[in-house]
Amino acid sequence: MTSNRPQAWLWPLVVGVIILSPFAYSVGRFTWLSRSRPKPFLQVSSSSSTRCVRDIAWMRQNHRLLLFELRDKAAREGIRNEITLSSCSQCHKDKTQFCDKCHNAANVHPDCFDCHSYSKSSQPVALLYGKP
Amino acid sequence: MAAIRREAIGHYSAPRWMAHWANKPRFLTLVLLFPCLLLSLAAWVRGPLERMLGASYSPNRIIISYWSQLPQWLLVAIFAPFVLLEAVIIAIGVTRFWLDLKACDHEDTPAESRLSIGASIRSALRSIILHDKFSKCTAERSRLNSHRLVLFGFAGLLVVDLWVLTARFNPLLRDVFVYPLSFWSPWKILANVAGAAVLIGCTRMISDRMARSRGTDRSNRTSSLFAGTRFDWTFLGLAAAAVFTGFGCEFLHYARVDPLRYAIYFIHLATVFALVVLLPYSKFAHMIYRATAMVYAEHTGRHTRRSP
Repeated sequence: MTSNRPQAWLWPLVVGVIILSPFAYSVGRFTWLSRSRPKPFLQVSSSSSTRCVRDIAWMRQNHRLLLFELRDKAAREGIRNEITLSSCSQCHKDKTQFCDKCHNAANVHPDCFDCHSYSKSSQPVALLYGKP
Repeated sequence: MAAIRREAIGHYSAPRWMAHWANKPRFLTLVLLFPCLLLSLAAWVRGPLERMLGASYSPNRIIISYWSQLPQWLLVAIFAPFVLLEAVIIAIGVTRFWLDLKACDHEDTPAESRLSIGASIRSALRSIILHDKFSKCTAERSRLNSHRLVLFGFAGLLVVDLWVLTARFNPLLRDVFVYPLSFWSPWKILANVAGAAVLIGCTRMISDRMARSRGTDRSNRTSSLFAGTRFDWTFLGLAAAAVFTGFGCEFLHYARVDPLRYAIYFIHLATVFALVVLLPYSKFAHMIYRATAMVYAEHTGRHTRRSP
């Protein structure tokens, strides 16, 4: 019978290794991380406040839309809002520990930071609260 | 063989008129238009629905929607009822098929040639994985590797889909899970390899059929018989389109081509929906019926009668 020949198992073997390797990686990672104390993926807000300028779930999905809106208002209408990249950095101080974490994990490379620097703002935190 | 397969799928699917319609070009247009309307409606009501249900997020599972207008929860809500409906339709078809096989089988087989249901399923699975029955067929031998690529490619894509869909509840995810996946994530690599396998397999099948329909395949003198019907082309076209648009979404995501990537994603979702909805009526269903026939043959010892 054909299936008794060793080469008949070559395809299933290769396919099995390809399909099972992400499982092996995930199980290995799970085991490795179980031994150590889990570290937070994102840097938590360093401010005493727990509120963001918008709802957190909304911000996760749509923060770029908010930035686009603010950019258009500033560039085309000359209206500068109190929310800027600098004001984001008041709570999320380290870009590499906040913005870059998700952007790198999801293979997203926004060009915002090609021109804009992510520096700490001198504005008071209270100004950051926009509409809920 | 292809005609028998098409008729069998049409005969056992429920409702039967759907299988008859599914092979008409007009119906295919409708099957593609329906998800477009459904997805457009979903995108339109997303905002009020989100406000009504309340947005929620898991701090460790960062799942960013490819398009915020069609978030993952909304897609699950749209696709899940249809997947469940397809499962019921397939169960009805398989039951009908099994009962008919039993009713038509008048020959007795010695008890030692018969296998239990569990052993029959294992044996049939082994046969499918090894493709040993396919490799015995001399007429279809040229399609062996293309068939393997498509089958195993779909298996890989199914595994990745299940991993992503269950990510919110997966206890194996000790740390964070960010979606869309990075290009170097092992799951993304599997998805890309599996997608490439389906695309290569489908392309080879399409070119093989085109060569045969033109009669340029000198190795097969009965070329026109193998050119395939609309029944074959519908499945092949939809499978290739779903994977092709999937790759399109991925590359446009990396390139951040904003309006276009949403359009391609929309088309991708519509083709995947059509593939799912047509599963019991298209050539995709041969995967179910062929497997059932193989289990039946093992269970009753029928295969021993045919090949002494």
